[in-house]
Amino acid sequence: MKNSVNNNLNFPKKKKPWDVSDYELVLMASLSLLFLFVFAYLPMYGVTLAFKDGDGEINVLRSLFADNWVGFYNFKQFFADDKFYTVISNTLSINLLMLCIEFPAPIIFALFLNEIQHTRYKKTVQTISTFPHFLSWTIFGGIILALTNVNTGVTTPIFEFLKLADQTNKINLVTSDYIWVLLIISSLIKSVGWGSIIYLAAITGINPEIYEAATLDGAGRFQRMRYITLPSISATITVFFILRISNMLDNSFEMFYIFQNGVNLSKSEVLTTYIWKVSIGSQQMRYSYASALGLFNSIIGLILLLLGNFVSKKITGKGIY
Amino acid sequence: MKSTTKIKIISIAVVAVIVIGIVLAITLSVKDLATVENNLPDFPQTPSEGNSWDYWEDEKYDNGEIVELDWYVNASTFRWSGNGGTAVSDKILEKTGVKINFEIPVKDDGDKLATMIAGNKLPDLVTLQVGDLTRINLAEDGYVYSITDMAKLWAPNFLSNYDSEIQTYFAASDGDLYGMPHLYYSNADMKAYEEQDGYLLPNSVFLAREDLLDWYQQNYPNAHPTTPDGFLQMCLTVKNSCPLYQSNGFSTVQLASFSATEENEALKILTQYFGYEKEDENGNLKSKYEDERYEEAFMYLNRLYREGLIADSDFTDTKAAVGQNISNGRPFVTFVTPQNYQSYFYNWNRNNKDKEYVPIVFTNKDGDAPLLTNLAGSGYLYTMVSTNCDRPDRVMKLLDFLSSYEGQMLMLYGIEGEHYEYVIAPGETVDGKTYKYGRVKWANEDVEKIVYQGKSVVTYGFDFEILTNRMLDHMVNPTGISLRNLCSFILYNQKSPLVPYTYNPMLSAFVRDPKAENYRDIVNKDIAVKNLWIERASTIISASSEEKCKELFEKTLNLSRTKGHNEVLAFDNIYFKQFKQKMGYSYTIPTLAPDYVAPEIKFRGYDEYIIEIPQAAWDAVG
Repeated sequence: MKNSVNNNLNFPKKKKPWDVSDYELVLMASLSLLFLFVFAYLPMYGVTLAFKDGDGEINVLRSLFADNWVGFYNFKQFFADDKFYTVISNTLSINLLMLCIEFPAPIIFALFLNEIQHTRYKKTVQTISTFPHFLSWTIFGGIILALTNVNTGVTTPIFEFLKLADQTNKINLVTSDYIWVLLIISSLIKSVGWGSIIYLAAITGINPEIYEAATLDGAGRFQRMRYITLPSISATITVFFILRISNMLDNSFEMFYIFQNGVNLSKSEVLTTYIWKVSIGSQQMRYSYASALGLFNSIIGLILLLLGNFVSKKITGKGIY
Repeated sequence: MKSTTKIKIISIAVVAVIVIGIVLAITLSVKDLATVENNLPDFPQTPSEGNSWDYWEDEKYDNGEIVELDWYVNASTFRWSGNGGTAVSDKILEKTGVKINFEIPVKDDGDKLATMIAGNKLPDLVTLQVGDLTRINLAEDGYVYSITDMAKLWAPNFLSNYDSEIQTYFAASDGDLYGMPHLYYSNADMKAYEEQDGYLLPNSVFLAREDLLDWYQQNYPNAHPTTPDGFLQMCLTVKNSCPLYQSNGFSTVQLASFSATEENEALKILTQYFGYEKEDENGNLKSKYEDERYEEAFMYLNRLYREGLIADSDFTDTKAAVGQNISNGRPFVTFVTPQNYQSYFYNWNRNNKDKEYVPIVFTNKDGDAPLLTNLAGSGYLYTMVSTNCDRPDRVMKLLDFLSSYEGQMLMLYGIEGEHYEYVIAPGETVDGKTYKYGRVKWANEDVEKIVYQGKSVVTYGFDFEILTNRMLDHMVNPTGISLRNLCSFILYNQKSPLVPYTYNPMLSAFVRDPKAENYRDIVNKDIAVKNLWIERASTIISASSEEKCKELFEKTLNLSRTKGHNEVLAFDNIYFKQFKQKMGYSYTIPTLAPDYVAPEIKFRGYDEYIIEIPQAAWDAVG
C-alpha cells in the first residue's frame, strides 16, 4: 500500500536531453517566455522607481528614466511613518490568522465532500460553495454588510437568540473589535468552495483500490481519510501552502476596502489598502513611494517563500524547488 | 556540432533578437517621451470677421473636410448621447464639420489617464475634473496646447465667450489659458441671475421630517430649536414623547456614512452651520482644526451621541444602509448632504407628502448665522487640447462653437422651434428685469414630457454639458432654474429656503502650485493630517463623556500639529493671498464685507425661495 501511494507522487528526476523533435516545443515555449519577459521581467525595471524621486510626476515612464536617484529615502519615509507599525502588524496578524484558518478549510471541506456518496447532493453542495467565488468583492461584501448590519441585518437576532448580545449591547461586526472575525469568515465563505477544487482533483487521482484494500482491512472513514487521502494529497498541500505563504502580504485589496470604515481603520488598514490610499487614492501620484511600499511587500513575500520552502523541506522532505 | 546544440543556439538567438527588439522599441519610445512637441502646426489663420466655425467649409481654409476627434473625459459618470446620430450631435457636425468620439474610464481610479500620459497617447481633447491638479502639470509639462495661442490663430473671438473673471481664474503662470471649464459661472453671471430672481443654493443642509416638526412646534410653541440646546431638546422630545415617532433603535439624528477616505459630511456641514470662517480679519486663511467652531462641532455631535440621539450603528453604516434609513423615514433629522442621498429622500418624500424632509436652521452657541457654501462657480470639468491633436485648428473652431451662445443653447435646449421657443428674447427687459440670455419654453408637451422623464440624454443630447455656463442654463430655463425631473425639483426645495445663509466659495478657490519646491512635502503632510482626523472622528464623537471627548479632541489636535497642519496652512496662505490679489478680491467670506448684515435666523428657513413644482414633473413620473 505504501509503495502505491508513493508512486503517485513520483516526479521526473532526470531531465531528458533536447533532440530535434523538441524544436516545435522550444518555439511554443518561447511564446510563454516572451510573455513572461514582457509582462513579468521587463516591468521589474519599474522597481527602480522606488529609489527615485518620482512622486508627483504625471508621466510615470518619464520619471522612471529621467528623475533623480534618492537611495532609500522612500523606504525611510515609510519606516518613519507612524502608520508603519499599525499597517504591518495588521497585515501580518490578519494573514497569519487567515493562514491558520483559511488554508486548512478547503482541505477539510474537500475531504468531507469526497465522502459524500449521494452524487446530486455532493454536486449541489459544491456548486453552492463555489458560487461566491464568482461574485466580485463589491457585490459579495455588500451582501455581507447588509446581512451583518447591526439594526437591519440577520446577525443581531441570531446573536440575541444565542444570548451573545441583547438590545442594549448589540454586536456590531464592522467595528474594530470584530472586523477580523468578519473578514476571515467572509473570505472563508468566498474561497472555501473554489479552493477545494484542486484538492478534490488530487483526491480523484488516488487509486480506488487502496481504499478498497483499506476497507477490507477494517479501516473506517476517518481512518481512510487520515491514512490514505491526506498522505496522497500531501504534495499538493505542500505546494499550495508554500505559495500561500509567499502571497501572505498580498491581501485582496477589494476585500479590505469594502469593509473599511472610519471606526475599524485601526484594525483593517493593511499594506495593500495603505499603498492605494497614499498613492492613487489621494490622487497625488506618489509613484515612487508606492513603488517602495510594493517592493518592501515583495521582499517580505520572497523571504516568507524561502522560509516556508526551507521549513517544509526540513519537516516533510517536500518543497517546490 | 551536434544538432541539439544547434537548436539550442538558434532558439537562444531567436529569443535574444526578440528581447533586444523589445528593449530597443521601449528605449526609443521613452526617448520620444522625453521631448513633447508643443509647437502649433501651420494651418491657415482664420479671419476675425464672423464665426470661426463658419469657415470650415471654405476652400481656402478647410475644403469642407469632416474631421473625427477623440475626446477623453476622465469621469466614469459622464454621459452623452452617443457618438453621432442625435439631433444635437448632428447639428454640431453640420455646424463645425466635426464628429466627436467620446471615451470615458471604467473606474475613477486615474489608471486610464496615467497610462495615456505614460504612453504619450493622450487623445485630441482631454477633460479632467477641475480640482485635479494634473491639469496644471499637463500644461506646465507641454502636453497640451495653449488655448490663448490657438484662439489667436483659429478662433479670434473665442475668449469673448468668457467673462474676464473666468479667464483670470484659469490663467496659468505664463498668463495663458490651457483649458476651459464646464459648468462654471462668474460673479457677473451670478448678478445677472439674481436680477432674474435666481439664487445660489447651499451645497448641504440639514433636513427634518415635517410632520414631526409640526407636532413639536404645535406642542411646544415657546421652544427655541434654533439654539444648540433647543435643537437637542427638540430631538429628545420627539424621540421620547412624540406619538408619531418611534426610533426603534435607529438614530434620531442620522449622520452621513463614515468613510475611511473622506471627512464625514455631518461634521463638515455642522462646521458650516456653526459659522466657521475660512478667513480672518487680516485677510489670512484660518485653520479649520484650530478653529473653535470645529471643536464645537465635535463636542456637539458627542453630546447628541451621549443623549442617545445618534446610534452606534451610524459610525459603521454604509452609505446604502444610511440611505435605507432615509427611504423608510426612520431618522427625525438627517445630517447628510441631500444630493448624495437624493434617491432615498425622493423615495420617502414622493410617497409621504405630509411627512417630507424639509430644511432646518440652527446656530452655534453664540447665535451666529450659518455660513453655508454652494457648489463653486469654478466649474466641474476642465477641457484641454492635447499636443497629439493633428487638427488643433478644427478643435479650436469646435470649442468656439460649443462655448458660444448658439452652441450652449444647442447643447442645453436642443434646436429652436423643434425643442424650444423663446418667450423672452436675449437681453430683453420684462417687468424691470433684464433677461441676459432670454427665457424659453419647451416647444410642445411631448418635449416637456421627455424632459421631465429624464430621457433627454437619449433623445436630444441634453446633459451634453460641455463647456456650459451654469448660469446660462438656469437663466434660460422655463422654470428659471435648470431642473429636469421631479427628483431635482424636490432637492431644490429642500435647499432653497437656506439661500440667505449661502455664499460662493469660488472666492476662496485658490490653487496650490504643484511646481513649488516643498509642494510634495506639504501634500504629504496634508494627506497625513486629513487621514488622522478621518480615523479619529468617530472615536471622538462617540466618547463616553464630555471630558473624554475634549481630551480626545485635544490629543488629536496636538497630533495634527505634529503632522504639520500649520505648515500646510502657511503654504496655502501664500497661494490664497496671491489668488485674492490676482482676482482683485479684498475678502472671500461674506462676514468680512463692510456692509454685512447677518440674515435673520428662521428655524425653517425662508419660504419665499421655494418654487412650485410644475404639474408636468409630477405627471412624468405617474
